[in-house]
Amino acid sequence: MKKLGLFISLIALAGCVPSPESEPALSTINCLIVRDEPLPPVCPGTLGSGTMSTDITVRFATPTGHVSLASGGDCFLPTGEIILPQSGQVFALEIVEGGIKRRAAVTVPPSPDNIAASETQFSILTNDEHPATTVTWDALSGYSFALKLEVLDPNPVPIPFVGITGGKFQKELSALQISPSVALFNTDFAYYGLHKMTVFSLDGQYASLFDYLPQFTGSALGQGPSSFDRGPGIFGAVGKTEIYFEILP
Amino acid sequence: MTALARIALLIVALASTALHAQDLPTITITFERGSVWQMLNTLSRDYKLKIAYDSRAFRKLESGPFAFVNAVPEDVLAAIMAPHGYRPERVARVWVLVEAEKTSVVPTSVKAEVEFSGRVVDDYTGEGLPGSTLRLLSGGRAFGSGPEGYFHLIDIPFDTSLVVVSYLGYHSLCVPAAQSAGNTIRLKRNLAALPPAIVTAEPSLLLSGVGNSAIALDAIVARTMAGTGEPDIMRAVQMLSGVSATTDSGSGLEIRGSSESMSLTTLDGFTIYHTDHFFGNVSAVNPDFVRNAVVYKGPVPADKGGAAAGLLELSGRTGNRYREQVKAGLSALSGHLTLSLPFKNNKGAFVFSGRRSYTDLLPGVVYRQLFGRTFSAGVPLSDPEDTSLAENRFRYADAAFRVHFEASERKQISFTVLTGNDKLGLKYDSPTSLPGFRFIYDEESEWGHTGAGFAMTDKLNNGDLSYLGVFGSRFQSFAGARNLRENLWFGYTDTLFSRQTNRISDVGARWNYIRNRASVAWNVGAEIKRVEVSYRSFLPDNLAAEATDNLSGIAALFFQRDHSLTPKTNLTAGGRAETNDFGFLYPAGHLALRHELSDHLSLTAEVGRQNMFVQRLTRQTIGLSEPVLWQIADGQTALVTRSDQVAMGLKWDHEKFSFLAEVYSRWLFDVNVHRSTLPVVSARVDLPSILHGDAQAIGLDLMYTYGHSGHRAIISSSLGISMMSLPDLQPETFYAASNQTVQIKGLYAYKWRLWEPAFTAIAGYGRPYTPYLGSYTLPLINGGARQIDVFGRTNSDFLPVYLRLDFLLTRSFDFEKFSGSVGVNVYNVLDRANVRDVRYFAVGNPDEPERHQVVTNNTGMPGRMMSLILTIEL
Repeated sequence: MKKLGLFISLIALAGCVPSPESEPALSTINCLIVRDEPLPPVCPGTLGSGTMSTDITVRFATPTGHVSLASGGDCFLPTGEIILPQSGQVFALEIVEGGIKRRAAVTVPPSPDNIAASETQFSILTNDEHPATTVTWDALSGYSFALKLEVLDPNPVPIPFVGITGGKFQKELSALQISPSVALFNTDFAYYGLHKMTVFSLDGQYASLFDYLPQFTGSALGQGPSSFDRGPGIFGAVGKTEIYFEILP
Repeated sequence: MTALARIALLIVALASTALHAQDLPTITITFERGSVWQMLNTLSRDYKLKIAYDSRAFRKLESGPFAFVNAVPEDVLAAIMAPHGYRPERVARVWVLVEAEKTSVVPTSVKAEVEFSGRVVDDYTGEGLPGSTLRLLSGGRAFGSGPEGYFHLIDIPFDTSLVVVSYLGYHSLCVPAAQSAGNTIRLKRNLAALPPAIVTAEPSLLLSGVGNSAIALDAIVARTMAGTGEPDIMRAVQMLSGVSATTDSGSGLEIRGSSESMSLTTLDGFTIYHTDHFFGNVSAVNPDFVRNAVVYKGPVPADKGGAAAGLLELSGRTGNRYREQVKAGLSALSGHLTLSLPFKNNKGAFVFSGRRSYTDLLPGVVYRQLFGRTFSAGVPLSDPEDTSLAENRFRYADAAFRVHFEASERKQISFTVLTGNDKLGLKYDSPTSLPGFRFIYDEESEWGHTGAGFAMTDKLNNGDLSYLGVFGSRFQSFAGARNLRENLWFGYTDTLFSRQTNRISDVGARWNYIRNRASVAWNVGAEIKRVEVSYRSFLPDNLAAEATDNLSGIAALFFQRDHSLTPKTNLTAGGRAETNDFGFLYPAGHLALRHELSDHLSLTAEVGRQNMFVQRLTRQTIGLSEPVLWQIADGQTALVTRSDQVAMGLKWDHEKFSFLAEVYSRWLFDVNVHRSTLPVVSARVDLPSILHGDAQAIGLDLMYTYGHSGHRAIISSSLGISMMSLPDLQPETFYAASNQTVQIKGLYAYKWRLWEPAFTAIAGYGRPYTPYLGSYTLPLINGGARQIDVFGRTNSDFLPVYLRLDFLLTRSFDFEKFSGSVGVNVYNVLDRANVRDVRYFAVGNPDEPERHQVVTNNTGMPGRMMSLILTIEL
């Protein structure tokens, strides 16, 4: 019995196992560098109802040195000399939060140059779903493109479509595309007036964000994309070019 | 020599290893007339006498009255036994009671350096018993019988040397080495002395290595491990220390914190890729077909390859050469039949064993609960047992046969085939789908395994053994689907056809040459193998067929040498040179040292290296069917995983008790993990489909067994940490998915007349999972938004404590023409909701197409289940 007792004691000791170290809640980060535009502010966020750590420092590592960001409200704002990112330049975002250092780096993509449209000033046929204009730009190998259409008139007048629905741009062209051209249909527009279409060039890392739909991985949920070596957040860089349309009544 | 004398000598062997030398006592005692057996028990207890006799026969004898004063044991025993024609004879430290007219059991002539050869067989069936242990009673190296039980020992010191022959589950026998060559040693079964499922045995040095890592297991008692309703040999293996038992799966083995895909299971020389039926609920090999099993938890001897993290070697029955045997039975899920038919000339036998589930014809409560748990593992159901949304039709079946033919005293031929498959038809309305869509899955799938092995054993004139084996094995799975996708926004439905076929197959040959000598043993051999892994799929989202083929040739040369450094110290050294496609040369090896500190206590130290050239089957969701985890052929033959292991242990062995302890460390290099088998599928686009990394496991295994007077018990405990690093996934190391920090298991059974209650208790903690931390919404540059799900570090949290208690009550019956048993098994008596793993699901929200709801699914294991088991033997 003594031996059995010794054995049971060994087992009991074996039960004193440490629990794994729990993961500290890190802030979410969303920071996007746009070519030829000043470095953006960095605004940490929280997951769900989590609380934000107050012990955060943020800085950019730029081709010309480090840029510290000053805390201003909920965001951190770049100070000092204004830096306009150029294609091929590498920028890194370093965040120290609760003693944990996180880092992400991006290379600024080239812009899709030589953008042109078959028509830049045209009328909409309110009962027709055919293309109104075709926009083209230079192809960029290894990059995909995101499109954005904005109405510049602060008080736009809606287009009175007949039997069909307008304003489909956001829904139909929200996905990334590889092709360096797009046909805009009458129904992509919702308003008369001056429009701006922006074509963004995205590298694969930032493009993965657009591809992330957890339902596509089967029903099992996948880890969301993160640009950082630790913790959640997206740090990306895009190139861009713009073209303007005027939709005539 | 009579059977009685053999039994007596057997007990000599056991008893003589139990005590240190002692002086003869003088006896003063008075006996009234009564049972001889009780008198002998009293003498054993009060005067520490070791007496060997046939207890069953002596129970009926009466003697007395007697009164002894300061008498020597020989006189006392002689007086008690004389009326019944027995006399005491002292052998070593034991008094053997033998029939008075028989000659002495101890040979009187003394010759030096004799030979001793023959074969160890089952007394009832005539089956050879490979791996039987032959040990000189006077100490020194233990020998292992070779294939089919043959042995040939020369340089035995004297013909008076007594050799103890033992085999797990049988009465040991002590025979003098003076017996002539060609002798057949017939061992009788001894079920009553065994713990219910597992007994530690002295493994054959040549066949099993000398370390504590190698443990033999008796298949014939695995039936007491009913698990969730089917007698299951894998569940019995899982009760060993160091083998995980908390997955509630009767399939693959997670040995010392490594995944099941890193271990190897073989039957009569061929690989069993598909180790289970019913998604892991039942193991693929019918226990009625299995004669014995040996588990290597640590370093593996050099004559075996491809076992990076453990090896389970199963041997099929060779059949009863003397009489027909029929065994049939029913359990909760299936019916089974085993036939053994002898050849007319008694030179061999044919064994057939078949099993088929009736889950498709009569889906009972146990089936529905098990299927419900499996199904719910893949869908976020509020009630994990509610499978009403799925129409299912499932069955499994397997068949095995073995022909064993003894062409002559020296030559034996055997041929084994095992085949089995599972078939599932499944139709269900998926509760998770793309926003705006509804999926109706309609799938047919079938997967199964076929393997065959041919072996020829030749005993040469000089007593050496030559073994030639040819083997082949194949696993194949097919899944086809015609799923309906209904677009809720635009009101149309289309049909998505999918199909996928996986196959892994091998064919090869192996040759061994084995030589046994008293102080040294050699085993040299060669092995060649051709392996093919292929993968064919056509998935609707890909819109293009994928095809992957990997073909590889593996060749190996190996040698192994056992050598007695001193009478109490033995060294085993082996090397293995392997090549894959005749490219690089991969060395492997095994070195083991064993030292006996006393008759009871021995120490071992082992180091070993193994290479694994082909990834085993892995379970993963393949996208065709969300709820069901498929077992598919995965991996590439060009990938080589290497394992280095170190283990040190001690073994304490007494008559009724044994205790094993072993510390170990295992390193796995270039472990390749398929991305889709990660605990949480990563959405990173830069992540390759196969990740490469390393793993390490360290730990302590403890095991304690007890068997006496119908009581049988085992307690095993495992402490260990298994870590893994996949640099492509994350910079830090993390707990391996198969980590189980602490596990304590216990078995207790008591045989009382025809009744035998048995309890199994399992507790474990330390199975990791990846915690879900939350999600946030990220605005996109083009005006859209994405909901990003965030998880903690991989496997950085532990599941709740696993706790399970099973109860099995068996009653045997024995009629004139047949015998058998009936049992009632209660699984998870406490009805505890144990968690196997944690999975997360994204449920679309029709109102907010760009947002989804995250549902956490604690994949539960089955609750309390009761089942009946009936077995009849003719």
